[in-house]
Order: sequence, then C-alpha cells, then structure tokens
Amino acid sequence: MPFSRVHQFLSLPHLLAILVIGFSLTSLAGIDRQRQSVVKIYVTLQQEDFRQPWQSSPPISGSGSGFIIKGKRLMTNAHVVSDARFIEVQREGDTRKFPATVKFIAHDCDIAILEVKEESFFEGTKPLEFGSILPNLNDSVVVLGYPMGGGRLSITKGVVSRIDYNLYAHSSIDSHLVMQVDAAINPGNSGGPVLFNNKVIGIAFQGIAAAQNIGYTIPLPVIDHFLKDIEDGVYDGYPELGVDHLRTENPALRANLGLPSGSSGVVVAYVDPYGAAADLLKPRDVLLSIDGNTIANDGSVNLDGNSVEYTEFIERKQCTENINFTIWRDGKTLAIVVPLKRKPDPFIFRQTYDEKPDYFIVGGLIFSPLSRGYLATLGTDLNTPAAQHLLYTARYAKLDNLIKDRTQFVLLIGRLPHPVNTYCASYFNQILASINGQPIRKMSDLPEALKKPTQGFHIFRFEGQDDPLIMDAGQIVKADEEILIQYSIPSLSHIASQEAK
Amino acid sequence: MKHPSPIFVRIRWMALATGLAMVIRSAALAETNSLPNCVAEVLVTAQKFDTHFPWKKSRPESRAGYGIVMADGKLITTEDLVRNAILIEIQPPGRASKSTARLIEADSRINAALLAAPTTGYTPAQWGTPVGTGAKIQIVQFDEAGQQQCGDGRITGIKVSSLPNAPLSILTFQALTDLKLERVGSPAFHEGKLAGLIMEYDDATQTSLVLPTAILKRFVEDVSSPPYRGIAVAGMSWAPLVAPANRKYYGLAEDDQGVVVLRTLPGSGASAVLQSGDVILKWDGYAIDSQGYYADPDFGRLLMIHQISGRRHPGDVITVTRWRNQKREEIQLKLDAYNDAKSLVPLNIEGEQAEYLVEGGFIFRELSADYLLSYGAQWMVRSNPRLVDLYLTRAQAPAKPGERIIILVGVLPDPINVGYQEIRDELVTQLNDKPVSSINDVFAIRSQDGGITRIRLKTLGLDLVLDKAMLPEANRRIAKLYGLPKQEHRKPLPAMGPLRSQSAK
Repeated sequence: MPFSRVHQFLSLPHLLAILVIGFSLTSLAGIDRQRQSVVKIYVTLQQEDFRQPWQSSPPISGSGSGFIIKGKRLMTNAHVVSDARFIEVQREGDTRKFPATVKFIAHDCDIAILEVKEESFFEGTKPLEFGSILPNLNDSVVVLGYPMGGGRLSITKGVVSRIDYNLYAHSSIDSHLVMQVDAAINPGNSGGPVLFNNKVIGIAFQGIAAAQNIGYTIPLPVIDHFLKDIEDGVYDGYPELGVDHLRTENPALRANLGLPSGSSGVVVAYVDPYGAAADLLKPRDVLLSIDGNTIANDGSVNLDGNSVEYTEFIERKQCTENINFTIWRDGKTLAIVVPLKRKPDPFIFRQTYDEKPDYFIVGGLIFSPLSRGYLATLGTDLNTPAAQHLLYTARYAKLDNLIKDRTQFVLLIGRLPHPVNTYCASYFNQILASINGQPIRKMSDLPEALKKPTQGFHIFRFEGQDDPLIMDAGQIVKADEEILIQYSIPSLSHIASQEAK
Repeated sequence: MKHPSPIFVRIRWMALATGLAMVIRSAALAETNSLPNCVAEVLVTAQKFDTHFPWKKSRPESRAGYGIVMADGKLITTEDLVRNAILIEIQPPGRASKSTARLIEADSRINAALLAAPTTGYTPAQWGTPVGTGAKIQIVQFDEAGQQQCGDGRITGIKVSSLPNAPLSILTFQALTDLKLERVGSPAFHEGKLAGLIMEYDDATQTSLVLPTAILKRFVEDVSSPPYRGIAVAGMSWAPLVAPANRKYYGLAEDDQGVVVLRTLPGSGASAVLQSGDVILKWDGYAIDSQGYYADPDFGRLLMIHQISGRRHPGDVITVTRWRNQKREEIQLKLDAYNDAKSLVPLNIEGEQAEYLVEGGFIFRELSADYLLSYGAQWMVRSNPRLVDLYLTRAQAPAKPGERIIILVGVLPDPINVGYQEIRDELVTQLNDKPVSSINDVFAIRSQDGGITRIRLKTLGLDLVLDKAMLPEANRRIAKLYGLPKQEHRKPLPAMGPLRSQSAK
C-alpha cells in the first residue's frame, strides 16, 4: 500500500463527497428525499505552523460535504473540520449559510459530528438512516456530495470493489476497515454519505492520487463504532491492544514453543508498553483463541464463513470492554482477559489538529517537541542525517527503547539570529539531552533546568553530539527581550499538557 | 612510436557557457611541446559483486581511463578505474596494441592505484615539486583518434577536502581549465612534470579537483617499499572552538588557538591519550588555530588533517599539546593506518565481495555502506531506518574494536523457512542464544553448533526457529535451486601485517 500516495479529499477548497447507494432499480426518486439532507460545509481553517509554533498559517477557505443524522446533528469527516476557525453549512437549493460547531471529532477514524444552533436549518429535512449491513462486493452504491467542478449537489454511482483494512490518512497511522468503490469521488466529496438501498453505509473520505476509479469510504462498522463510542458524551477512540505477532506456520517454531499438534494460533513477538496488553501478554505467548474463536496459524479467524484477521475482534470493541484470549504459555493453556483501554501514548506520533504545538525560546534558540507535524515540515531537510535520525526516533522510540524516561523528545528546531546565538547554528534538528546537567525529558523541564546555570553558562547537550552548545547565561534575558520585539513573537513559550494527544 | 601531434593544440575551439565560441590560442606552446610521452590509456573489464546476494556478480563492465607511466614499468592511475578489475590492459592512445597490466596496489582512501606493465616506448613522467596557488598547469587528454588535447589551467586553491566517495579528507588543488574534460583521471603537468591527477571535474564551472603529486609520490614510494602502510590517521574527530562562550567554558584565553576533541575511535592511537573535551593547542609541532588550521611550510594555511595524512606515516609518533582540566601538557600520539575495517559500518568503497552465510535460506552478512547505497538515490527512505540510522550516527563508533552489525538480508523461500519468508533487512542480535557482533561470530557459532537453528532479530522477544534435522538437506536444496556456488564466503585471513590497508588487492 503506497501510504505516501494516499491523499485526503480535503485540499484547499475541500469538498465533500457523497456516496449514494442504490440498486439500479431504485429510482432516483428514492434519493430525492435523501438529497435534501446532504449539505455543503464551508470551512475557514488555520493550520499550525510547526516551524514557527507561535503563529498559525494564514486563514484558508475550503469546503466539504456532510449529512443530517438523527438528533439534529451533521456527520462529516474529521479532516473537513480540523483546525477550523469558522464553519458554515448550507443545504442544497438554500441560499442561507448557518454557523456550525464541532461536537465530536475522531481523528483516528476521520469522523466528526457538527451541531447547528439555528433550528430552522433542519426544517423540512429528514435525518438519513444508517443501513444495518454492509453491501456485498459488486453491489451498487451512490455517492452524494459537493465535489469540485460545480456548486450544486453531485451524485455518482458505482459498485463496491473491495472491503479491506487500510490506512486512514488523516491521522497518518491508524488503519481500519475501508470500503473501496469505483464511483467518482473527488475533492469536496469528503464527508458525504454513501447510500445503499437509500441508507447510509459509508462516508466518502480519501483516494489515491495516481489511481483511477478508486474511492475510499468509511464503512458502516467504523461509523457504528464511532456512534457507540460517543454515546457517553465523550469520544475515547479505538482501544490499542499493542501486540506484534509472528505467524506459527513453521513446524520448527511450533515445536520450539511446545504447541500441541492440532492447536493453532499466532505467537506474541513484541508487547507495546502503552498498549492494553502490556503486563498481561508477553513474548512467546501463543494466542490460541479470541473471544472463543480459534485463531489460525496465519492469524485469521473464521467469522460467519469469512476469514478475518483476529484483530478484527478488537476493532469492534470499545474501550472499557474486555477481550478474552486463550493462550499457550510455558506448556500450559491459560485464559487471559485483557481489559481494553487507550493509554496516553506520547510516542505514537499521530498527526495532531486543533492543538498549538509546544515551544520554548531561549537565547533565540527555538525548542519544540518531536511530532509528526514537525517532521512533515522538513521537506528537503529530510535528506540530512539529523532528520533521518528523527524519523528513526519517531518510528522506533518504543521498539528500540529510545525513550529513557522521556515523555517528549525535545528538539532544537531553529534559531532566531541575534548576537547571543551567533555560534549556535550547528545543532539544528538535534535531540536535546540535557541542560546544565539536568536531563530534558519533556518541554516543561526546559524552564526548570535553565534556573541553575553552570558557572554563569547554560550548557546544552544534544544526543550523540560530543561538544555542548554553550551560552552566556548573563546575556540571555536581555537578548530574548530584543528577539521578541524584532521577530514579532507574542510569547517566549507555550507548553501545554504533557499528556498524549 | 608517433607522438600525437602537438600542432593540434595550437588553436582550439572552446564552447563557452553562453553558447558563443571563441578562439583560444594556446599560451603555453613551449611547455606543451615538452610534455613527455608518458600517458597510456588504461582499459579495464570489471565485475562487481551483488550486495544483497553476495555470491552473484553483476554483468562485466568496461571502463577506460589514463595511466601515467612512471619509472620501472609502473603506471599511476585512479583506484575507481581498476576497482573489481578482472582484466587490465594498457595501450598507447589511439593505437590498438594492448598489453596486460597487473595491479600492484590500490588505495580507495586517496583514489590512487599503481600498475605494472610493459612500458617500452614511453618516456616516464617525472615528479613535480610542490606548486602553489596561481601556478600554471597543463591538463592532457586524448580524443577518439588518439590525438592529444592539452588544456591550460591554473591552480586557484589548495585545501584539504574530500574526494568523491573518499571517507576522509586529503590535500587537493582546485584548478580552472580551458579544456572540457571527457573523463576524470587525466594527468596535470607543471613545467613538464607531473603535478597531479584530476579527481573530479565540473563542466559548468570548468573547475577540477586535483590530487597533487605530494600525495601521489608518497603513495608510490610507500608501495615501493612493502608492506604498503597506507594513509595515517590519528583516530579521532574534532570541532572548531570559535564560540567565545565555549572558549571561556573550557578555560581558554580568548586568543585564536585550539580545537576540541569530540570522540576517539576505540583502539586508536588517539584513544590512548585524548578524550572528548580535550583541546588540541599544538599538533605535531605546529600551533593550531580555533578552526583547525596550521601554517604548512609548503602550502600555507591548511587543515591539521594534512599534517597526518600528507606528512606522516602510520606508526609515526607525533607530539601534541593538550589542554585538559586547565592544564597544558605535551603528549605522544601514535598514528594508525586508516582502516575501513575498524568501522562499525565499513564503507567498502572498493566493493569487495561481502562475507556471507546462507543457512536454511537465511542470508546473513555484515552491514556496510555499499549495502545501503545499493538502494539507489532514495536509499535513506528505501532501506530499514534502523540500519540507515546506525550508519549515519554510529558508523565510526563501534562499542568495542571489531564490532559489526549483522543483518538478515532476506530469506530464500524453501519449506524449511515457511512463515519467515517476508522478513528482510533486519538486524540480528543473537544466533543459537549467543550474541553476534561480527560475521566471524556467525561462522563460529555455525561450526560449533553444527548449524544455526535459532535466529533472534532486534526487538523480537522470541527466536525464529529452524528444524536442525532438515537443515543439511534444505541447504543443499537451496544451493541448487538458487544457484549458490557456496553456502558461505569467508575472506582468507590477512597474510600481511596489521598495517596493511584493507584496500590492498
């Protein structure tokens, strides 16, 4: 899967795609009612500037699609309304635009719920109903929305081509079930409904730039999971089991694990310290069954005649639910209950939205935590050893135990030139290890460590760098005052919560 | 033997970057006439080994370059020309009378090689003396018809800089020339004597990087009194000490002197007497400024690297003035030969065949830079980020002398390795429960245990297991199916002393 080529249908003018599903026999007359409930969403957004974190990008206008669901709410994609400063919605054929606000936003599955205060917006509309089962491959579906190429509602038709796990580009790291259709889905379609028998079974959300007739939609099970999650008024997100496994197809491996003949399963190879299975499962445990269903040697489970990955069972659960494993450990069969939860994980490096990046300026040196948003700004700088080391760090922080008591990797992301920092240029993109001998494990350690200069100097040490960056502590305060004015910076620092995004 | 007519060079056309053409009159006809008949064409057939399937060879390739005939039937040429050579032949320019040449020594560190071949009919070149900035040179090349083309040039700078692909920096000249060079390796002459070899040429600016005689002569003299000792190194890295705050922190006066030691290579001469944070004030008798320069008696202001790589030999002991704990001390530092093999991730510029073992279809080898670079221009993104990071951050920093990274290149599919066949480019930490930190460990474990049956990859909390009883038959089957001539390749132990360069053929 060429992840890098997955793009969302939210470009500058982002448009929403609506998928309408229907048999060819289902006349468009049937859709007439549904189309009333498909709305255009106008968004003004400002993205965070990870290189100059004290400011945001200039306001950008875009648009997408959405649809009315029960409870006088609108459903759309998270990426349509992320980083929004102002949102308006408009019904087809209506000249009025109504302000809307985000009620729930789920970045891990790219779904959001909007609210419109003005009651009159909903007059004469009926909420779209959700279907109860996914269509089969080759079933006809209809996509509704407001894609590029015109102002009014667009309806495209196609068939379900494939249903499989795939990356959700909005967060850049989450994979869930995706329904691929061959109906035309274009920028602006994002957030529009996909209908099958006049009922919503998906939301149009992304595609592949280089491909033709491949449109990705968020299928019913993911929407259902989201709706169930927000029932308690809070979106928790998908639980993370946090297990990497190895298939047990090799007889020598099975013998080494002492697996009795006739039993099957996958063997745990790595347990993520931030996953739900931490402290409950360990390497060499063989997962024999999940919620009473036998796991095959390749990790698949037979579910109603279909072969699915065992992780599908976790995918369907909410945080606070349990998963029941039967495992093989040390020559014995054990039952293990894993309470599913989502622990704060600062090292998952999910793309963040609606959050101002942390930063801290001292002596004109700009420090900020390692984040996906920051890495994305590097561009051609990515071909430097320092940037490659950051990419490696982001990807292997947990696996290679690079964390060392940290909750953030603090980087020198830039320098605001001033006589105080004339000689400090060579540490760009390096990970800060300590200041004045005090380890830097998170952004809030910075102001603390700077309180105690070393014999009148601040000694900054960076990971893997043998020579320290040294600044005369006496000059810094005055220099920073000048820097704030010269570079029009509102504040020397912004350090939010250390908790995981 | 007919010498290519010097008349040819009297008037030449030179295309300018603007697209206009103008006549250039050779300003140095007398000097051109006096150039000795000392340049031979060198024709090479080479074949390199594959990095991922190290038993395989690529298609043979043909290369052509120049050799400068020196005394005693020897020719100087560039190492990259004769790299992985199977056959080396020389011929007078434009003539098809080839004779076979033999490689005596090649050193990728300075991209120089010495050949032996019949050289009757040539007039050996003479070594020039050190030349300075502004000196005029002539650069010689031959066209397809064997006609000599000679361009005038001028040395515009002398500095320590890195050659293409060379791991460390060396003394070089920058030269501006009016001859559009067709290939690197052309000789440069000054007053009819050899001044250097062109290592790099930039068509847009018509500038060349020249490896000077000062380095070439030392190389030939070194080769002539075996064993070849190679280029000397101290075994450390350093940084300028310019920032006033840093100078104050180290307790140094604000005068312009000294550089700071960053790290030393384990087992090197520097590691015995220097440590991170030491300041070097004097280096082999010369004061070092805060940017690492000294005043060279021959070439003026040069980086201190040249004092070692251009003026000293491995085994020499130099005197260093060290500043540590606010104290000035004189210490003795013994120089080593540059040795790629001491790296955690060797460069293997020469493209030598990698030592490997294929066991149960698992391909094991050591990580090297040429392995990573074989992924092409996008190698940083295309290969395993862990391996890339090790190379970029720790290539010169083994935790102990001789440490290497063992990788599992991939798995040749066979019934014995079902379930593992998609694994590739992974880092191996243990085999049969024993830690591995060199390919020799891999060979030793295999011969002690009669086979490798448990493979531990980094981060995985369990071994990949192979069936020992199936192993011999599977190895035979895999060798036959995938055309492996040998299950393993081990380099013979070095016959020469420890100072012998790795680049020696």
